[in-house]
Amino acid sequence: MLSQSAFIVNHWITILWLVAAGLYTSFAIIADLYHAKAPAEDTDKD
Amino acid sequence: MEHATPLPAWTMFAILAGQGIIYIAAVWLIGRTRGATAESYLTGGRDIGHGMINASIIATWIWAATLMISAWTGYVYGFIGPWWYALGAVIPLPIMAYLGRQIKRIAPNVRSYPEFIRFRLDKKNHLLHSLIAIIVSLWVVLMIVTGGAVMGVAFTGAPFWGIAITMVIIFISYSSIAGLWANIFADTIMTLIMYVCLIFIAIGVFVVVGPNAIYDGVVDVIQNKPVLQPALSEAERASQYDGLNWLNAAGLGFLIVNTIGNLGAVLCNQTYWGRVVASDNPKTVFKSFMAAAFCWWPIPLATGTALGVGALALGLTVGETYTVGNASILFSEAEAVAPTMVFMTLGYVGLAAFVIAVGGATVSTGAGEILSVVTVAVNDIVKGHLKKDATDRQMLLMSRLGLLVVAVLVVAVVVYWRIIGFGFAGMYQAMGIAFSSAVVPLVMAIFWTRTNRDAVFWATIVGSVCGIAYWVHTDMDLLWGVVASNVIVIAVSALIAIPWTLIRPQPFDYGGMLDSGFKMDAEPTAAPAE
Repeated sequence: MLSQSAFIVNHWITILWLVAAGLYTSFAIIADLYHAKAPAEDTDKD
Repeated sequence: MEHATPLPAWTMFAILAGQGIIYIAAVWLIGRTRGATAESYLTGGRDIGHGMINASIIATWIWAATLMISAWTGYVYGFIGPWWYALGAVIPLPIMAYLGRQIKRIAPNVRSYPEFIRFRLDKKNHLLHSLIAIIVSLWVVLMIVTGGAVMGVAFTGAPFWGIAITMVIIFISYSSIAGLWANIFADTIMTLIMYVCLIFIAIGVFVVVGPNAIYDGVVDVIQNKPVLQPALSEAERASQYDGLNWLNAAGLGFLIVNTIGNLGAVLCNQTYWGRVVASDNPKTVFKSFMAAAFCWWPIPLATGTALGVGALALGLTVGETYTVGNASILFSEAEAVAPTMVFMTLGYVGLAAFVIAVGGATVSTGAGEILSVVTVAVNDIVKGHLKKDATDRQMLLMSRLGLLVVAVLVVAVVVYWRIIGFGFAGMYQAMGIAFSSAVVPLVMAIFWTRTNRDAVFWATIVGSVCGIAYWVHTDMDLLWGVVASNVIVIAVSALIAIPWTLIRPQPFDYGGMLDSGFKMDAEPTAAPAE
């Protein structure tokens, strides 16, 4: 059975991870908009 | 005045219509030129970068089920339920990163994954995967409309059929303007809105109820075993009394079902391949699916923990009516635990945040799935088989009319299923049995140059038949019967396709696929594999 302290850590992880994911997604979109305004040398075709 | 539901019926329609109008206006103003030709309508222009593709994958993979069933797993399986749910659901995204990058490299001109199969394998496999892709997307849209409408009924008491019709009208509205680009653009906006709403809910429950109180509540359920789901047998309720055990047996069974079922739901789903097609290069495809896995995982995890485990701790009981202030909410079915819990703890503000998040999730995925049905029907069935000389203009017209036809079909089926009482959880767990047999053959076609074309064809069919036959044999059992059936489906297809290919390999050169693809006004430039 999960201990109380482990349960609380689990709860914190869920929230902090959600916030980090939201921030990453937002910055990735902003970076997209930035590159769309200045598409000059992005020829990085794989 | 006391309501049977916390909000009046009109609010559901107002929230949906408000979102719909915003997306229609934004798509019309910014991207309507993307709908000028069938090529750009169906491919999104093939020039979209990581930020939008990443956000679109997240939005597409957040269904009403992500928010409602993840909470249900927390309520039924305890703290580990949302972890198993999220793990099972997220596994297909990294796999898709490798598959998508490979197809983008070797066949950059295709518009759908069945089209890739046409040039990699043969006509019969193309037809089979086209049908599977259509069934998968139809199945998904049926599930999300059902889930979204269930939530709407729980919150507002609006008629189920009215909510379903409103949702589907919004799905096809902005999609008809600019096709795939419109989907991805609207997904991007929706993803940001959903993060704001869900972060607010997760933190709100954390502050209002608190992890210590939630832990104590779950311990109380384990010790006193209250009857929280009266309609279930004692055996079916057992997992709920094991809510602090990370090896919760029924929860592990759900993990297997979720993993296998979701493989088919993503890998054989044109909506995700659409994001591959629309991205600007293979590196973007890989990076976006990997990042989406990282960013999607905490959404069901945090939602399921806050609302599902929280509801278990508070002892919310199915069939009970709960009152907050002047308003009441009926906890009508276990799958509606999320809306009940959010209203119990965060009141109208939490309620509004959850309705907006689920509404956004439903609209983004639904619009993408309906467009995928039409893309495969028009590009692969019509252009690939029925009318090979169809022009760009004809394809564009068929695509727009197709949206309307599919919308009518979806509403009819969803309402009929509701009338006969076909369950939402049953729909989700049954999903893997129907089409996961195509996963192994698809992976083989993409990576294994010696794949035998007959082997993957028969593996797909026989695997599915065996799994369905076994499930029927168990009287469509939704516990271990569905687990075994899911394993059978994927194991049988692998056991047929792999040994057959080893014994009778059919070598293929991927290098010849660079120009593959149905041409709008001419025959394919590269000879299809036969």
